Amino acid sequence: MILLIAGCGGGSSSQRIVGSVTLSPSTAQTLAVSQSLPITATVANDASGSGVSWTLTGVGSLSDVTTTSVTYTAPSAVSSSQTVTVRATSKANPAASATLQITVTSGGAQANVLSLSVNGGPVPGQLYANGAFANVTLCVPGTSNCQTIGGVLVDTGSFGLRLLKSAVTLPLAPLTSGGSTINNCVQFVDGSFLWGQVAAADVHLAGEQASSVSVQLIADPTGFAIPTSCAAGGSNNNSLAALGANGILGVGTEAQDCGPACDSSSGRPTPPVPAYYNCSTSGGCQPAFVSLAEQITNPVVKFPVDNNGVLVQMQSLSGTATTASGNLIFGIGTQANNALGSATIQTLNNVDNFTTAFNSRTLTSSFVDSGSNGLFFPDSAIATCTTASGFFCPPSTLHLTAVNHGQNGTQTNISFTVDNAQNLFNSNPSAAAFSTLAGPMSGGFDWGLPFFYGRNVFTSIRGQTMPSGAPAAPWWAY
Amino acid sequence: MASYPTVPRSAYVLVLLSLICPAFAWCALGDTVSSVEADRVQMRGAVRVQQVNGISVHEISDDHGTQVREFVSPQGSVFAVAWQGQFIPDLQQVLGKYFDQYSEAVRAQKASYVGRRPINIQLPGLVVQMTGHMRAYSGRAYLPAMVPTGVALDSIH
Repeated sequence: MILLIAGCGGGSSSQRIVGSVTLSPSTAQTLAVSQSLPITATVANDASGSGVSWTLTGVGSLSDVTTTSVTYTAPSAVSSSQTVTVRATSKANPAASATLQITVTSGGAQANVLSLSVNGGPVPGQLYANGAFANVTLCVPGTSNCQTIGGVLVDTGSFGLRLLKSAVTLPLAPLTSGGSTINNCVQFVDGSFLWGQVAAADVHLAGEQASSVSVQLIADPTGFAIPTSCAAGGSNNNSLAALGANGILGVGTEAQDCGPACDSSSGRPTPPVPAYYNCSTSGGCQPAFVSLAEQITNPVVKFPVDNNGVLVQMQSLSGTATTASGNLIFGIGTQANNALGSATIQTLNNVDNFTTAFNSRTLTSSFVDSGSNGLFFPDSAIATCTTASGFFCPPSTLHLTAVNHGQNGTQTNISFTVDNAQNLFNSNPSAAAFSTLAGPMSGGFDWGLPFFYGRNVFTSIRGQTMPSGAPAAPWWAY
Repeated sequence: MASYPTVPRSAYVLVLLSLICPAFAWCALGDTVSSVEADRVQMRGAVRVQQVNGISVHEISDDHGTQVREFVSPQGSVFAVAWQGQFIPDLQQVLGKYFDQYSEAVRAQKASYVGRRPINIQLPGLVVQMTGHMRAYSGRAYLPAMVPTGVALDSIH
């Protein structure tokens, strides 16, 4: 009787099966954050010399990939110890593979902390006052092909990640619908609009990782003329010089930029504009519905943990400084560093506003917004600047107070200072951080970045799970 | 937007207007309005009209919840427009012949100092102001010279 050994061309039982894979190191490894580990693979009887292909399941990344070796690098932070698997699969015999388990231990820089810098922004020759900028890492989904982009404005008043296409070198494929490319248009209260393709990317912020998140790649042109419903009445911010940043990281109170209004299940007869468009060479760009899952998404809600909101901690600042720093911490009540403590929670209405009482007026469309670069509120008694358009220029420093009211009845008294913006800019031509910068706005109180200096400001996201005892989101707490 | 406390409910009238305006859903700032009897006019949204001290306020809501209000003087001039909703309305339509002046003022405001801040244009002949954040925008535009005496600017919203 002949003993058949599977996959063999014959030979003794002491011979290895063609294509079996062995790894070095071969036993489970433990790494600290940011450490790298070179791994080699040997394929038995690999007559073709085709070697292996590599895959990674879990956090971290693979680099220096060859058919016989790879380097695994642990992420810069993990919220808790995690085990990943690196698999080498024989190309000659895909049924043969070997795995190596690597445990990444937490410690060192925390996974949920992203540095913020009020540093004037990434545009040479331009000083962006009171903009908090951070680094964002993007990857082609499911791969370790990644890129880190700095100079991204952190904005708790918007939802979703938008990046200048010119700053992104990764090959990110746009989302499509039928044969059309999905594009997005968004407008802001500074009279600007952003236009560009919607694409899926893995988004890594500090040690947090979100898989396959819809982002906007801002560009003009995109290959399609900007629809008049998008551009009409707005100023085009689709460039580095106009935007003043490489992108906007919207980590506010909602999970998507548009929400139910742009989803076909809303029952609306037509898609709203300006929002999403299906663009094709034959049909141009037509308004379109896009499901919640495919809409531009607040990356925080797609983290596996620390996904219910953010905490912005900015340093204290009295007066003006060349730069200021702080942290964007992911999660509320999920780690030792993001507990609510004694912060007062103020719940919001259905359009994410609360009420500010100021100067005997009740301003019901008030909000907290790190993406606004001053405090903006109505006060016809304060002189406005002639040159520094959009800011207040009182003849001398003003010390004012207001009271914020949450829908849940909580109340906070806020004291704030307003200086002459023109004098501030003239006297501090190299400064980026201004704690007393303010300007006129009709109809509500905009608690912009000066509100954040010296405070812990929590922003919770509608629909996410709140810490025990806290009301349903959305709310701000500080 | 807040309701007008001085207007009794009975003053809300569903009026079908034939407007001497371009064929848009509403009149632009500075246009002249004339109300005419009879024929139904298909408009993109329901029109409600309130009368306050001779000022009529035409309120139009479209399919997507955006409300636009036109403030019309006793002489029939649209001296102010205000809006509120998830999406900013087409400002070329809303501001009409004042759009170019607005665009230039926006360019000037953004050119003075970079940084995202709400539009606040206050020219002698035109005021345009915006507020809000993603998913909740509101704003207004008015012609200071055409605001009838006795109308509080705070009531334009």
